[in-house]
Amino acid sequence: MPLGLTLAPRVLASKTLTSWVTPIAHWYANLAGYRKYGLKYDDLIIEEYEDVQRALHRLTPREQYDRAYRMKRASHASVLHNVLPKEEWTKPQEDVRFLTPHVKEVEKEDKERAMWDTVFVSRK
Amino acid sequence: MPSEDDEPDDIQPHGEELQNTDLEELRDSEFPGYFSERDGRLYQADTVTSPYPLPVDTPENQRHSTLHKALKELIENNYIGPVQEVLALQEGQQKVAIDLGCGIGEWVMEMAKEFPQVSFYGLDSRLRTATPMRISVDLLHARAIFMTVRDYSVIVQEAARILKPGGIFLSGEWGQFPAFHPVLPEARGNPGDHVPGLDRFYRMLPDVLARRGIISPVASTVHERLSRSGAFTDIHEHVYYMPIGPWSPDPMAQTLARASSRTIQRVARNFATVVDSAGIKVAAVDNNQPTTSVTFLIKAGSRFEHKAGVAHGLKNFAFKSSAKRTALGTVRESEIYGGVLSASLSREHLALTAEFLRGDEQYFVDVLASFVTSGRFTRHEYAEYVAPVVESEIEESKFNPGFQAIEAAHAVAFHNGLGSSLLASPHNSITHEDIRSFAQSAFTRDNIAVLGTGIDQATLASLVEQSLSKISATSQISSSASSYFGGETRLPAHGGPQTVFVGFGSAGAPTPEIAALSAYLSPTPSVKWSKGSSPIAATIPEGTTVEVVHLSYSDASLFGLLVQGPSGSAVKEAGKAAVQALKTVSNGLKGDDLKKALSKAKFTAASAVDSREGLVSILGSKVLSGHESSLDTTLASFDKVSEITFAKAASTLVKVKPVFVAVGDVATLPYADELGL
Repeated sequence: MPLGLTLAPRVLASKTLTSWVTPIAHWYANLAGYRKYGLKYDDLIIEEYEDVQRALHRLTPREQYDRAYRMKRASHASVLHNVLPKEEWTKPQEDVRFLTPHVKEVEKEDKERAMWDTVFVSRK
Repeated sequence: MPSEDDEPDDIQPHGEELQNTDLEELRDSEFPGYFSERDGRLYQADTVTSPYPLPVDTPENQRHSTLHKALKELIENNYIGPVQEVLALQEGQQKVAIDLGCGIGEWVMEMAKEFPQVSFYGLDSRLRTATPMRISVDLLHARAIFMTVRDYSVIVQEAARILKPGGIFLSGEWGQFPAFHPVLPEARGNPGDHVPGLDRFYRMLPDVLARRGIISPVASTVHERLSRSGAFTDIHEHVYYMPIGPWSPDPMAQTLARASSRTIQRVARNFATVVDSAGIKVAAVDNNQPTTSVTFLIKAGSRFEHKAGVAHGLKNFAFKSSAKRTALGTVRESEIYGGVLSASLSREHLALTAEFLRGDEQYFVDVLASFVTSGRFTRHEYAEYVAPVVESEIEESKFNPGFQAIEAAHAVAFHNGLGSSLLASPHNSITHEDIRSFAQSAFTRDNIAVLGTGIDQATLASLVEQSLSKISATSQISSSASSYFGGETRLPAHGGPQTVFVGFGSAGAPTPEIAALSAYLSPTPSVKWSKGSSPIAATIPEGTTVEVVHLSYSDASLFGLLVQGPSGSAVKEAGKAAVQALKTVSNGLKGDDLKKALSKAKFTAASAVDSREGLVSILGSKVLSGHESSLDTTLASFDKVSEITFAKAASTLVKVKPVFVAVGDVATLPYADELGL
């Protein structure tokens, strides 16, 4: 389960909850610090899973290149024990889920394969 | 008896004067005027004056014969009512009776035996269109003829006109619905539920007939029509129930039931040959095979592609995910049903085929249709499944110099259109978007023909209508008309035999003369491991092969010799011999040689229809191009080939600039002029 549990769909389903939680979410994301290293949230997904590897292959060449660049820039900053200059921080509107949909798709495929492998067939 | 000049020529007298009357038979030359052939059945050629939808051949006559016997068994006589009184001998008066729609004349012959004093006439629109008769009759019998006229009122009017006062009109028509037999203790719900297939057939029948302008059903209206005409008195109606299905313990009823279900099945099959034209062309042939196949033939061959290689990509995208099911789902579900899905590509068509056990058509038509209507063409599927297969097919073709030679020959012969390769190039830039847009422009109503074998037309048509109702009507793909160029090309290749292709192409429909030429030249013997009498077989050196290639397309054809051998010099020698043989034959064939060529060509054409693939490709291209053609017309075209037409066609063929392709070790392979071209 590379993606882990999430309550986001439930929160987003309710207007009131969304309006309460959104400021906290922004506050939390900024506090987490990855944006200061120029990373996106999906760069934090643990990639040592088969599913995530397959999902990574489904990125467009441009997305793959950009991801590698962000990683490299962040590790360089880490070596320097300093965050990036402020203009290179990830802006909230840039912090989109570019990998999660692919991981979800792959998980769905796995689930379907498991279903077909164990399906019980009866003639109508 | 009517006087000689009074007698219309479309009446064949039976009875006592039968001996001095010749039965008029159609001569062979008249034959095509009266009958036309579709899907192996004979029909009336004239569909303007006669709407009759059923075939008129021997199997159909057998059906009539079975039906006649079953009816006689059911009614226990050939007639009901005061027929004996009306036809009784009267001094100074010759009694006359007419059977309308006599078919093969079983009723009329039996009646003539029973009433030898009466003149019987059998009249059948299937042979001659009836001219108004100047004759008056005592008995008019019309059984199951409502399909021969568009409006049954015509029959009633004519009956009223030609019957003598006191004459009798016997009308017998089928009620077009299943019903419960009166001996059954109680009606159990809807009769249609017990015979769903028959029920559907009868519900469909009025629509099918209405397309031909026939007003039906008729049986329930005859009584009213007769009384409304005012010309008839003493109208009686008798209802008989023909059993279908062996429900009754009575052996006689069981026999009848078997006979009637047989005749109904045959009628249903006769109808199945009518091509449905509700937007999508559907054709089905049911020869009672144990399995069914359904092919969606789509005009999306390589000649229509807007970017080189998209057709090849689309072929390999077949049966990947659609809105309804994923690629894996399609594989696993088809496995459970035990069917096979396949896609194949030619220069003109993409064929998506499902082969499966009878009864599973609903699922498999849905698989084919959902790919056509809602294929998703995702990027990751292209990268993960499609592109590797495309690549491996390209790789595989590199080791097949024969295939390479023919591909190159098409490019040289036709440049664009037909010249485009079946395969994508090794370094292509095709994307899933290209394939999607090609699919969207090609998967349209007017661009798809659905062909079924082992399935009845109505079932297939209704499934197709349901599942393809959403696709757009007109296609945006096109291909320029083919023209022939010719030329020479040499491709270096390693491994595989040394190969030379010598070809002659022409724009325009393929001719039977060239088919005969290729049959005559083909060195493939009729018995394996023997040497045929083909002029090429005798002269080529050991170890070399010559294959005669005759490829026909909708608007062009390519004829050629594919010469293969172990070395360039051997190929040169074999090529010289083959070209020499071709030049000799192109001067003309005489007598037995031409006969041999024609019968070989006929066999090739006929046996192609025997296989499922052959049938689908031949029927499919005909259906898509809207030609009403059949095997028999193809075979008949061979009969028109004479020594003169053959010599003319063959010499014209070899006069054009040839296509010359060498594949292999280009340093040792010959040039065109070295082969005597």
